[in-house]
Amino acid sequence: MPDFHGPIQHVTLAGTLWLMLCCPLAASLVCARWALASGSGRAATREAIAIVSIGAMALALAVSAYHGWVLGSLPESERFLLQHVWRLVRFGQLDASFDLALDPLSSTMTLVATGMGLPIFVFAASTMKDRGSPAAYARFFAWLNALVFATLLLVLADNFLLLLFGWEGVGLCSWGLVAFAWTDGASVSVGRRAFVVGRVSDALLVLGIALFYWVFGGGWAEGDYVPDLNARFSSVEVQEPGADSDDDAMAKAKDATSRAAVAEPADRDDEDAESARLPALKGDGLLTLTSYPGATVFMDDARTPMKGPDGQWLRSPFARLPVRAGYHSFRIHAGGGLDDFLVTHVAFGEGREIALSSFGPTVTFREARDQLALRDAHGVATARDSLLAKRGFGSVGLVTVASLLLFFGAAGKSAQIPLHVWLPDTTAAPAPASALLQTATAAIAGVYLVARLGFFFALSPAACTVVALVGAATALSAAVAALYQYDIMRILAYSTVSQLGMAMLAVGASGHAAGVFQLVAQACCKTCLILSAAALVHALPLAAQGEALARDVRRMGGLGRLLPGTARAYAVGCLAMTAAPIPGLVGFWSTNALLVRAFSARTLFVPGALLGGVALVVTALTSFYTWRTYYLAFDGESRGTLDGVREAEGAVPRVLAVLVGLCALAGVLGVSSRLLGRGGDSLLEEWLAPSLRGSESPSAAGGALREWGVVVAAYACAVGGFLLARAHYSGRQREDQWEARERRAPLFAAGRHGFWADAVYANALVALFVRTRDFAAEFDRHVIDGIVHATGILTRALAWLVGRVDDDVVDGAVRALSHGTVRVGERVRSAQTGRVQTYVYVIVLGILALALLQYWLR
Amino acid sequence: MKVTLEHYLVVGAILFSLGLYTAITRRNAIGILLGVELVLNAAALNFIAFDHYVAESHGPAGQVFALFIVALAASGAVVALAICLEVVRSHRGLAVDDLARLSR
Repeated sequence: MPDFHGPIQHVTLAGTLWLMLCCPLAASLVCARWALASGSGRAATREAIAIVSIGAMALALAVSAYHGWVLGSLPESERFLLQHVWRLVRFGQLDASFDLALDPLSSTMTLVATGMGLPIFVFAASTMKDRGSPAAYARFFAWLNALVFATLLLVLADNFLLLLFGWEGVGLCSWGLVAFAWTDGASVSVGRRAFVVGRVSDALLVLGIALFYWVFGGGWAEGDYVPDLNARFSSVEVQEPGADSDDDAMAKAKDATSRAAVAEPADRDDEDAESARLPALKGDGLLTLTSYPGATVFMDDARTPMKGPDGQWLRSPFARLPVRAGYHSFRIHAGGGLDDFLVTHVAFGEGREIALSSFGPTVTFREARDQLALRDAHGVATARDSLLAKRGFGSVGLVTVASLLLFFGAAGKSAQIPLHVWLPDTTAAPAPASALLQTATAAIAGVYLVARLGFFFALSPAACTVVALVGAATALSAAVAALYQYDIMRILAYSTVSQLGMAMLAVGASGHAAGVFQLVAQACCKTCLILSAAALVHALPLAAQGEALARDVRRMGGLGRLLPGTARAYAVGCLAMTAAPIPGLVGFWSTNALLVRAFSARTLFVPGALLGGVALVVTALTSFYTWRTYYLAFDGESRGTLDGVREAEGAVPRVLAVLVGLCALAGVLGVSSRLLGRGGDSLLEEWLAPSLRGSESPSAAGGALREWGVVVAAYACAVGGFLLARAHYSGRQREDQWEARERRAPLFAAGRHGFWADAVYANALVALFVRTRDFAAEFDRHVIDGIVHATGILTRALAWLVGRVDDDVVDGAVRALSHGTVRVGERVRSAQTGRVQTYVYVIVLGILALALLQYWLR
Repeated sequence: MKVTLEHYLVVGAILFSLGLYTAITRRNAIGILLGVELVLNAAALNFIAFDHYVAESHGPAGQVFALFIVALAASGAVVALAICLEVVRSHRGLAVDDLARLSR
């Protein structure tokens, strides 16, 4: 049994991560209680609901920020907070616990979710006040809080099972929010559709998880599953990341003398002989165990488990426990019916950290990544090589299949083609819910998952290519669709789809940091845009007649003069989103990072230039459609009566101001760390690096020239889009017939209808479903009913037959018997003549006959 | 002349034949009854004769049978005469041919 070494994840234990989940969960439950109690006189006021919700969200943000700070204060390689809450499921080789993990990636996500959640909550508390009853208000906040809770659970999950809980929760809350207006049939129907689309992707995700789990423990040979890697423990020498260049590893491996085994220990003699050859060790070593939470460890044949510094029994997980120098053996008692795991001959010495690391099938992200990074004494990455060698379905790598399943699972949440249809539908939800769904919760989950599994996707270039291509297609088609929408919320929703496509493109091009950056940037600017658009719609008098009317950009115009604050916020959002030439804003950095990644992508068959080109086109389109909405809404002549259009007061302008600030502030994330005298990656990239270890392909050696070229091209595209939009839609230059001109534009019909995605679904899938249903009905009517009818007829025939048999044969026999008896009786009676003399004759003759008979027989 | 068993048997046979002839030929019920009595007496006579000549050493079994037959004949005659009385009362006569329709 070789002993392993490699850069496995240092873990720091944390005790307070659960607080982050508790805040929104508690608020959600309280609000739900209030929503249910509305009729009973114990209903809470809107103020109480708002205070509870916003307070919970602020608390969650504070906890999230605190943990981000804790994480930042740790050495880079130890930035991984782990909290074991309780054991979830453990059977066979599956071990999944309610473990919360916070690394830079999930920390970024929690900050986005809570950081965007707070302003959205404040905005919602203020704008939803005059809509609906207090019960509806409470229900709304119950769903919002639940959504944030589910998202936090999703990003804090240490393993797939827990992630799945959050994932499903997000899907449920999406349904609850999109179909919030449950008295409105259309809204309910789109909510239902969002849910169903989510279920489709969930099914794929579950399949992907199952395959992910299986492929670590075995593979398919000739159609049968052959496990080749049973769960076991090995000792692993923990190395700093980057220290595992092959020569170095070989040298260390020769040096390393520890040896691990799960099997019975070798013969005593053997062991002694070996230990005689082992060099002496000095100083204390460190021991880490994070698998099988709750497991106890027995060291060196001890009768009692190891004790921690506090004198209590040590229970997994624990990290960096000092162990005196020398060779030790460990018995890990996982409990739950599992055999104890044995690890022997583990060498401890000065400054060496040894992790008892589990191998084999796993659903824990960290363990999977660690396994893939480990090398044995000969420098061979055993697990990784065996994983790559596994094939199924002919000669397709199982890793590719699993990656694709996981990706299409993720695509449903992050609105990638073909599962993007639900996201434009979220505009049916109240604007704050729509903003939360699009920027901070549901939509980011997919990109997050792909980034989280970057180490796995990195094994399959084919899967990465598919991810990048789907992302590119989504980005492009959604951007075209956004060009020709009139509903301002729908424009922004399509824009979200497009931006998520860009993020997916980056992730597929192995630029996970760039993809996550795109998410963060998109969260900031899109929240700003959606909320200012919502403020705008809210302010319009048309809103009283119906949301849909008020959202139509064709009925807007000239609002900039009436709503200067909103207009400014919207403009800043536009600037931030469109890779604008103002380097302080976030979009500039994220788009540039993304474009550089796209151009240098090394995918199968698809040249990076194509991906980069698509990204550039999307950048130009983004700029165009964003400014188009701005000019249509805020510039030019007013239409209709705008009496009473007034800037909202109170919380709304402040929220918008905060979001504008965030748009600018988030730009800091993109600043090159060279300013701080470090490597040269952007700050966010540097921050995310520990989470994304093993997943990024080395950034292409394009050089500064290439980067500058990309920057200039992006700049040109953004400015070009802006100028074009200005030329067409700004107040002075707008044609009266701009709608008609748009109608003649290329791809108008396709874009207007979102590339007929709905129609395709309706005509293909739904029609197929309906046809299948009809077929089933016909089948039921003709075949099943036929069988039933035939059975009935057969039964009747049989009954008739049995009846005939009963009537004719059985009763006939009885009747014949009686008839016979009667007739025999008649016959016999005729012998009874009544003449006494006849009787006497008969008697005499009978006696004579008997006498003769007797005489003859004698 | 010594009276032997054969003599008795011949007398019995004659009695039996006369009785039978009477029973067959008489149309009157009483006549038939008389014939039957003759037949019974013939049987009783045979019993006595056999008892005396053949089974004397075996006790008086034949004589007992004869007494039984007498008793039987008497009781039969009682019943028959009672029926006869009833028939006379209902049919105004004792012709057995008239009674044939009782069987229908």
